[in-house]
Amino acid sequence: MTYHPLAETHDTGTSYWESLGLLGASTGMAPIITASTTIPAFDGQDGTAMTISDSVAKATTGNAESWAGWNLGATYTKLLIIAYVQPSTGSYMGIGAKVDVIPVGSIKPDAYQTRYADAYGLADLGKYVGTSWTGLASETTILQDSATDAPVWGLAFYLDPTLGSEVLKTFFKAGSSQWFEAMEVTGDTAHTSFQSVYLRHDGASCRYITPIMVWGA
Amino acid sequence: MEIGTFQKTGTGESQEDPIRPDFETGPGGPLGYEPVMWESVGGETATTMTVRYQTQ
Repeated sequence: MTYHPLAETHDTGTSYWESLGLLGASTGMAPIITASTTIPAFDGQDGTAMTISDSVAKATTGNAESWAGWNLGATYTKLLIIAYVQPSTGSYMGIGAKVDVIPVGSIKPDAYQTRYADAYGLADLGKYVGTSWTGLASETTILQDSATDAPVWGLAFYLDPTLGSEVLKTFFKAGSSQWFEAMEVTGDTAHTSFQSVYLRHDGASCRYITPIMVWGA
Repeated sequence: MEIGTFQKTGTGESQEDPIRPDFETGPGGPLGYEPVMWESVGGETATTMTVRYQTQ
């Protein structure tokens, strides 16, 4: 017997998510954004600008609380968001889902978001309610140096906060590893539907890299 | 892993000063350490958060 330890989950297929029951026919989840090789134009961004060149969205050198995102074209109660990142000299990099459509200015209010950073030595998951940020999970034992030679990481954020489900999960994929769950929040129903998703970064030449995928139901 | 209810601390004015559990205010007294990981398990009120946390 030949054993391929990473064959099922190593790359960018859906097998891992289906094995967890987060994707698949029974979930009702369907692709919304399928950026396999080219990142679509943003519907809005704020802070340090990102420029898209085919498979990469690269921030300029300025360091500021920043976001860039897309409207989903409908309202969804469940989402799975996946993006790949390379931090360069930046600190926080993350992904989030917003209750309303993308605004012109600040990403606040009303969103769930997950991030990781080395500058503060943590990964976290939390929510904006109004302009107030509440942390819902914190993990200090998994982080990535913000360095120009850091490997590309995968970030994934699963949101199903509807009453009865009430779950938010953060996953990472470090370098060539398989996906793994890093944080799980249960029982938070502050926001129960979403109309846009966004990339949360601090600029500083960071890169978001395809595939960037969003499934929803 | 333990589950406990703690008072909230932090202003929430920025993501570097989040509203989060104050592990010095647990029902059994201060933990005496900051857990390396914690996750909300619901039951949030205006002043408290219930979280699952990793014991030291």
